Order: sequence, then structure tokens, then C-alpha cells
Amino acid sequence: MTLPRRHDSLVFEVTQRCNHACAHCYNAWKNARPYPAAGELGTAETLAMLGKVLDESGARLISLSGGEPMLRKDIFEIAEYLAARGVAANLITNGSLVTEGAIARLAPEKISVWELPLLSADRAVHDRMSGAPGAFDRVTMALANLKAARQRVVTVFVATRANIATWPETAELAFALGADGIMLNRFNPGGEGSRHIEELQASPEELTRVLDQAEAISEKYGIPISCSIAMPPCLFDTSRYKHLTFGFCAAGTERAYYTVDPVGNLRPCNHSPTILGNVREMNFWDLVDSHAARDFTAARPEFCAGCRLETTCLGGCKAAAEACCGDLQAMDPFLAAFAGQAVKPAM
Amino acid sequence: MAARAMSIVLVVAGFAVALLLAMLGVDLVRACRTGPKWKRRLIGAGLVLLMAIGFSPAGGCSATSEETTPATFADPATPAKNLSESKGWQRILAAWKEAEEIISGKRGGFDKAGKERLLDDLSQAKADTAELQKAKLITEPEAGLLIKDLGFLAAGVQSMRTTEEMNFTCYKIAFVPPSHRSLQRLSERLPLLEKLAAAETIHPEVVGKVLVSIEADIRNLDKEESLKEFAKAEEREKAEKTRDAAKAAALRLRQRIAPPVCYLIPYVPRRETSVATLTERLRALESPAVAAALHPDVLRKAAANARTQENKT
Repeated sequence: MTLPRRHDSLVFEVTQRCNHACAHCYNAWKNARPYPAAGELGTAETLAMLGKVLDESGARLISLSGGEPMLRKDIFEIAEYLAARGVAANLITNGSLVTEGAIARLAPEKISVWELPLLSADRAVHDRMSGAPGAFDRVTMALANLKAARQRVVTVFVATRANIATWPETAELAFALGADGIMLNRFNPGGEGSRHIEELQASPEELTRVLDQAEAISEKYGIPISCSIAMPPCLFDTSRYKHLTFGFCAAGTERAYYTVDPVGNLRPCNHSPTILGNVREMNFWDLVDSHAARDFTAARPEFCAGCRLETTCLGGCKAAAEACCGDLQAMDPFLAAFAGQAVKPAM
Repeated sequence: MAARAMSIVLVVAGFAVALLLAMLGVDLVRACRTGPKWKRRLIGAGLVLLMAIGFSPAGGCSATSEETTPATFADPATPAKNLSESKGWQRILAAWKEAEEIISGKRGGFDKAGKERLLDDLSQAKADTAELQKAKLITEPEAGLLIKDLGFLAAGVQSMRTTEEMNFTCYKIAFVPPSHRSLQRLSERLPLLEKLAAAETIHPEVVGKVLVSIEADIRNLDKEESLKEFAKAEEREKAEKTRDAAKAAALRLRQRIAPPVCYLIPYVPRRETSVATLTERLRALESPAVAAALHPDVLRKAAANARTQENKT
């Protein structure tokens, strides 16, 4: 007897619509490479699609993303459906529509973790990066309202040249507002972000300073800080940071970040523009086992050959390479920009 | 007649099973010393026949584990390139699993001879741990924590009643409240745990193993009803401090051994925020920089949140 296959978690891009215009946005449909106009399914069709993909994958966690998921009027029905199925849901939102009324409908049990951007403690910087005046006040109020409702909230700081100077104050502000944790991500080019690399991409030295500060803040306040976007070990000595946690590309594992767009197109991760097929028409596992998915998992830049950590790091973010260069085998744009400084861990 | 037929069936079946296990590379000596009695007898019988036809396992083994001597297992941890390949580590895992099953009551048929053997195995596991550390397959804090846990397991096994003792009426164990035991165990392990959390090198297999009982003790001390078992305020405070320190170190380790994941949300356990954290948060909210950054309504709300929580806590 063989145990049924199970995939831990999925991302569901509830909608492509968004009321912000972040320069660092990685949404796949904002790439230069054309992406099918997705539109949205009706509520019943959406729930049927979710039911099918959950039945097939066995996933127990869904991250509801977008676009801005709260723009969809049936987000409450979707969250309710997931809760009824016993599937945990994380909500990735810009916070602009997270009002007390919305929280009352989603709290206490429907959302497991709320993920909100806090891009700077400086109102002007946050608003500018969000492309939405008033965004800072709305997101901080959302955070305060969520904590009043005793929800679990993590804030996201995307480290770019535009905001890294304000990182320590931003982390302290997140702590002061009651955030339960902070995601500290380096800017990962893709989507709209691929048009702003010059102005947004910070150097390894600048990011090392950010990590040093993060280490001190995490230790001082006991607030967990994690870095999701791979920090290439040839550019960063992550072993120095005992209080921070670092993610690597999970492609090929049961924690790979398979992403379903609003109409059911499945992609290897939310940064990747590659569509493996549609989960409404095909079995989830057939798509996961497809050549395209295997190619995604196996892809590794030539530059990484001979590195001791090649199979752990997988060359950084291959989806970013794919989004920016149209080639899975290309180097992660961040790594490519600073390859001259890379020191490969020896075998 | 029936007994003889049963013996023949046992030997033939045991032979087939032992042959199959040997082909699969299973350590037959280990296999005939662990698990339920029927399994030990079956494989033991098969092994005897295998040995009779010239098969030579790594060590000797009699038909039942009760008759084996600890010397069988006294060979040091076989040098291996990595931990999972090491015989010493496999022996530790086997003894650990068996002890856990006995203590939790999952495994029956726990007789006096079996108890002695298991205690010997646990003692051997401690020696294996030292060998693994010597071979640099595990680090010093890892070895320390393993040895502590093996000691707790041995104490647990020691306290279990064997089948021969089932009818004893005066079999008494001094009662220590679970919360006090958890505190004692956490206090003993905390220095090693913190050292491990800060260590450059960790071995996920070992860390995963030692974290299980540490987290169980943390969970125990997270419960209000457990904390109520500490009569004096200073005892309770010590318990909370130890628990929080162990929790922080355990969290760091848990995250370090997690499989690769791109979307890495910080692990946020559902728990009450400590008074110290809330006080720190209020102080941060009152700082001029934060106060200037926030809209007055947000500031009011955030401060009210922290105060409400502080009052509740």
C-alpha cells in the first residue's frame, strides 16, 4: 500500500486587480512576457476549483494572495469555505481594505496569519513605494485593528534602495504595533519590479547592514524575523545570524510554492510566469509531474557548478531569472548583478 | 506433537523472514532484540537456522532477547562518514524508540528481563553518543542533550512496572507533579539548548530528536493549570523564565532544521504575550520617533491594545 501524495501548501491568487501600484511588485502578469488575461471565476466556480485542487493535492494551507485579495467581494465566502474544510488560510493583503467590519467577518478562525506590508516607518516612503497616498495610515490602522481582534499578524519589509535607510525604525514600529513577526525580503526583480531594478536593487553590503540590524532587533525585542527570498550564500554569510531564519527555493519539495491564478492556471511559484496547465481541467499531480515542472525544479545556472551549496541554494530565485531574462537557466538577477563579489563555498 | 509442529513452523517462518531481512540489509542482531516478543522469537529462530548454514551476522544472538548479554552491543559506534550511516546512531534510535513505547504504554509484554536489557541498551546508547561525539559526527551540546534525554528515558523505564510486578500492591513511586518535573528537566537542559541554538553546526537528525521532549516540557509549562502547581511566586517566576528561554532557543532550532521553503513566514505560536514584551511595546509606542510616525488614531488604538493585553496578562 502506498500513502497518498500530499503537497503542504498552495498559493491562490484570488484576483489580479490591485488598488496599489508598487514599483517592486513581482506579479507574473506584469512581466514583459505576455500572460493570459485571467479575469475571475464566479464564487461557485472558484469554490469548486479550490475543492478539486485541495482534494487532489491534500494541501492544508492556502495563502490567499493577489492582486489585492480584499478587492474580491466573495473573499469572505472563500475564507469560510477553506475554514469549513479545515484548511488554514494566510491572507496576503496591502491592508487598505482591512477594516474593523472586514476583520469581524474573518476573525477569529478563518484567517490563520495576516500578512501586511510595512515598507517604512516614514509615511512618505511607504506611500511612495506603494504607489498609493494614504497607504501608510491605512496599513498601520489595519494592523492596530487586527491586534485589537487578537489576530496573528506578520509585517513584510521589502528591502530596496528606496527604504533600507528606514529599516531599523520600521522593524521597531512593527514591534510597537504588536506584529508577531517580520518577513524581511530583499527586492526580488520580476513583474513591475523588473522595470525598476536600477533604482530599487540594494547591494550586498547594504543588505548585510540590514541583516546586522535585523539580528540586533530580533534579539532585543524577541520578535521573529525571517528572510524568505533566498540570500545567496556566496554573497552573504548567513551563519552569522542566529536570530534570523533564511529560506531557500523549495522547488521539488513538498513545500514548493505552487500557485493557482484566479482562473485555475497552475504555476511553479508565485514569482514564476510559467503556466503548467489548468487545475480545473487537469489533475494537480499530472501538472506537478509534467516536464515543465521538472525543468523548473532542475534548472540551475552554470555559474553555480562546483559550489558546495548548489543543491541547497539552487542558485537563488530561478523564477526571477525566468521573469527578467526569459530563461530558467539564467542567473538570479541579483546574483548576476553582484557575481563579481561572490565567494563560492568550496566543496 | 502440536508443540513440535509449532516449533517447526516458527523456525521455517523465522528463517524466511530472517533471510528476507538479511537480503534487505537489516541488522538481524538488532531485529531479534527489539520489538514485541513474538517478533524477537520469530527472527531469533530464523537467525539460528541461518547461522547453522553458515550465515554470520555482525554479532551473536540467541533465540530470545532475554538471553542475550549486553556485550553483544558493546562494540563502539562504527566509524561512518555521516550520522545516519553510523551503527551507533541507529542503536540510539532503536533504544530510544523502544523506551518511548514502553513508557507511553504503547508496547506491552514488558518483563523483568526485558527491562534489564532495555536499560542496558540505553546505557549503551549513552556510550554510543560519546563515541559519535568523539568521531565528530555530532557536536558537544548535541551529545549533552542526547545523554540527558537518554537519562530521562532510563528513569522512565526504571519506573515502569514489569509483568512480574503487576500484582504488587506496594509498588509506589514518589509523586512529582508534572510541572515540577518539566521545570527540572528544562533547567537541566537549558544551558546546552542555548549553546546548541547558537552553534555554527547542528545536525538536524539530532536536533529534531532532542527537541521533541523539550517542546513537550515547554507546552506543559505553558498551561496555566501547570503553573498553578508552583505554590510560591518565585517558583512560578522561575518556571516562566526557564520556559521562555527554552522556547526562544527551541524556536530558533526548529526554524534552522526546517526543510527549505521559499515563502518563510516567521513561526508565530499562539500564546499570550508576556508582560515584559507588552511593557517594551508600550515604551516603544511612547518613543518620540514612533509617536511622530503614526497617525494619532493609530497610536491611540495601538496603545490601547497593548494596555488591554497587559491588564489581561
